[in-house]
Amino acid sequence: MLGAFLVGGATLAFGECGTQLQPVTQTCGGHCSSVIILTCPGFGTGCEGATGDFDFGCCGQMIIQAGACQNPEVAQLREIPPTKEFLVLRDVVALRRQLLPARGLMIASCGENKNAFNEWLEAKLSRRR
Amino acid sequence: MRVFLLMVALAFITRAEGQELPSGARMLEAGSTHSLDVPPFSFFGSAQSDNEGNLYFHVDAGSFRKPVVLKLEHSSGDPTLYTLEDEGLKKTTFLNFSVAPSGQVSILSQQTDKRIYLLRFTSKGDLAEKVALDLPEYMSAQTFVAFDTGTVLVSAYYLADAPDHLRGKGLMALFDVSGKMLKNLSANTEEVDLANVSRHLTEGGGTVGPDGNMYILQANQIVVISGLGKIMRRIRFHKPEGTIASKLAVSQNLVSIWFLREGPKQKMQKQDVTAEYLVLDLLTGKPFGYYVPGKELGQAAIAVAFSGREGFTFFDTQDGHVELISSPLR
Repeated sequence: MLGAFLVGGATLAFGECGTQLQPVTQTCGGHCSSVIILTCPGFGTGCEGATGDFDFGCCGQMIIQAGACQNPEVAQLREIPPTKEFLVLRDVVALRRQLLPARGLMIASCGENKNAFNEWLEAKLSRRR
Repeated sequence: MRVFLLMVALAFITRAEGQELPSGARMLEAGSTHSLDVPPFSFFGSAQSDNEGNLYFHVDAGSFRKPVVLKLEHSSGDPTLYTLEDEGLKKTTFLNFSVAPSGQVSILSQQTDKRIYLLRFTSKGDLAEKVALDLPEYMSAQTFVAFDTGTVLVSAYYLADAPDHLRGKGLMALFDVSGKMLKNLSANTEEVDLANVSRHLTEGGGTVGPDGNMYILQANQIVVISGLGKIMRRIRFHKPEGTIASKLAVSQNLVSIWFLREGPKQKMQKQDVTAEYLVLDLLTGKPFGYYVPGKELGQAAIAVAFSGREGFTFFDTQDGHVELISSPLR
């Protein structure tokens, strides 16, 4: 399950990218300018500026093609607004609910196990509940 | 001061190991390392901290828009997650967040009705209250600072969908606990170039200092504002060319400013970013030192915190867990 998902016709690879965090910037639309992300190369967002609804450009989630970490190809150029994301990306939503049932979230991690952070967080939060 | 900073900005020399160091700058080196039992995670923008030294991150839950803030306890790394239930998440877009000195988390957000809301959270991470701010919808927030009293400061600019005479102009105001505008401070803002602003990281930041005043970072100055909205002081500095003044921290008698440098822009690819730091004497406003992180601080050498006692704190990963590296001032 950790290897890859088929999501809306695009393959999202979780085990093929970098392990070290690196700061990068992402150009967004007018509402939130550009943002800086500390992430592992090849995993995360990447899209053409100002393509999203509501002038949010690339602040939204993008799906990256499986493949090389250094030059990931973007599966679709437009960002996926949260409402559509919840309707279309059923597999991702299902996974998030499985990992964090109360929140429905998936927080990107780095390294071999891209779900390591989610698993740790869920264990910590469950223990507290 | 200008001569010193001009030297820093322009006169680069090359160290033997190939790392460029501005003349007059000091190299930040790794001091003590604190390993946390926390797997690596991605986050957006600057981390924030409270009076206890706990760290707060806007974590990457799939999108910048998702209002999810993670607190890590300074010593143990125990987490608290500040976010909304699923229905709230669908309707809410993250704009910015602020941590008051006591540790109360507030998120500035926009919802599907396009209004801008302040979301205040309990210490357990649940939503305590949602307050509509007396702000128009066609704004882009740059700086957001929350006091422990519930008063907040928002600095923003008008977007292209604003009326003609407002487009690109700045707005800065204090809001009371009910969201009503207490004081309009817009005369202290500068106009932005809407055609280019979204292509670069946002300039500016803010924090509450140990004296209870707000310190608002702008391109070439820090404006010190009281809780009642009175301008107390301006601390001017020279920003090195090609950098973005993106964050500041005030601790003891020092104020530190984060200068970010964006790497070459490549279409459809992520852009590298590096940081340098100017530390000023808070009392005199004069430079205390200009710092550049050494290679041993890792690729992600953008500090997550600063204190007068411990210096800068860097976030790194090692063997599948997070490490906080202290780098004392020299």
